Amino acid sequence: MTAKGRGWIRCPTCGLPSQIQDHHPCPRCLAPVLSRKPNSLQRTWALTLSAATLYVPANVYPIMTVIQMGHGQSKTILAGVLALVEANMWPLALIVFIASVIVPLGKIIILMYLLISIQMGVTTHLKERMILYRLMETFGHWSMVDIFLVTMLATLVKMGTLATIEPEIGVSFFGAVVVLTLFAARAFDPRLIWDSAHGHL
Amino acid sequence: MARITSAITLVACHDCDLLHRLPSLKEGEVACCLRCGAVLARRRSDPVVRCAALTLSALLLFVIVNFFPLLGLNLGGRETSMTLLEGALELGGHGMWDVVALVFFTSWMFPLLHFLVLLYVLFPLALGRVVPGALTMFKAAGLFSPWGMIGVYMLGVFVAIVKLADLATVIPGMAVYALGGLLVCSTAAGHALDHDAVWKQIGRTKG
Repeated sequence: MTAKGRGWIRCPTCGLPSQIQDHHPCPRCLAPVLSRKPNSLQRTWALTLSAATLYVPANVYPIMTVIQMGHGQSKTILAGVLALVEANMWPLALIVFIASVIVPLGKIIILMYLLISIQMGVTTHLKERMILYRLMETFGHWSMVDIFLVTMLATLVKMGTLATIEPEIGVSFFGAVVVLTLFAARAFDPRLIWDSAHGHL
Repeated sequence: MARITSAITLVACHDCDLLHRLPSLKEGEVACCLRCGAVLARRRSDPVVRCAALTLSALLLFVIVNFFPLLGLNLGGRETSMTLLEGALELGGHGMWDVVALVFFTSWMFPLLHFLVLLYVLFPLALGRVVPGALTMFKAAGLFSPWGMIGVYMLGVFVAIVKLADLATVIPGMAVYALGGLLVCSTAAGHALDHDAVWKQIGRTKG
């Protein structure tokens, strides 16, 4: 039996279950309680689709320009990974590829799959879907690595025509993708997976 | 009062909302949700004092991080170096204020606020006192903590060191070691903290 089914609400702030109505203050921490996140499906869809849209310019536009010995070269996220592969820095290439490509893309795909399965009232693979949800929660913020990396490189490598790294507009788009996926994951309510499977959506 | 007493033994899973009657846990024991496997409760040996001490260490290390260079670069005799804050603000020079805000908040502001707010609540609590505003401050700590990304930043530092080694001589600064220590302290502090025990002590319904 769920808390909601029994007329209880778990306080989203402090976790105390109590028999009160939505929007009333929690008896322990005084924060207003809600049995489910408000408009979770709509908000998660909106944020996920925005992230998916911005993922295109984030990968098409360069994230930095590397000037070495007078030659300038703009690099996209994927080109940066390929450059690491060519330099035989495989472990590094793998880290950047996972953090910048697999994690944001995986997050968008997992969120869409979870949303669609909830809206179709799928009753199977409940535990597996929870594992996907937790994977997304645990690794979601690691896609920030590339943004930190570009800011560090741009700050350090400032030696004129000898060697200079400049940030490009792709970083802004990629940053927006990361922030949107983080908000999307927070807007998603995993309890809906179980509600929907039991026909209580 | 009967209703409140029963609420203490009841717990709802944060991931699937299944109601459980929580058995009393011994030290180090963990209670998991019967349906989805989420961790419902974990009994810590020392829910407040250890976290307060580790957070204080993290805060002191954060001060050190800010007074020393993080990374230095030497290319044919020309040297550059950066601190954590300089790195966060650098992209302002390129007009990319959105990225500046993102890096500044996640690598500097939110971790700092998280430490300060936690200490404000936990230090007096370790001495048996509940400070005014403890509820609001502890709520704020919960809001800041997912946005502090020192761990991810540290990975970025490692990638930068290896990547730049090709180009020039990289000099890891004092701040890198302090940042590593800070990461260990704040992670350990997170594991030591028993949120429910703190809510019980600072909340309106005692018990």
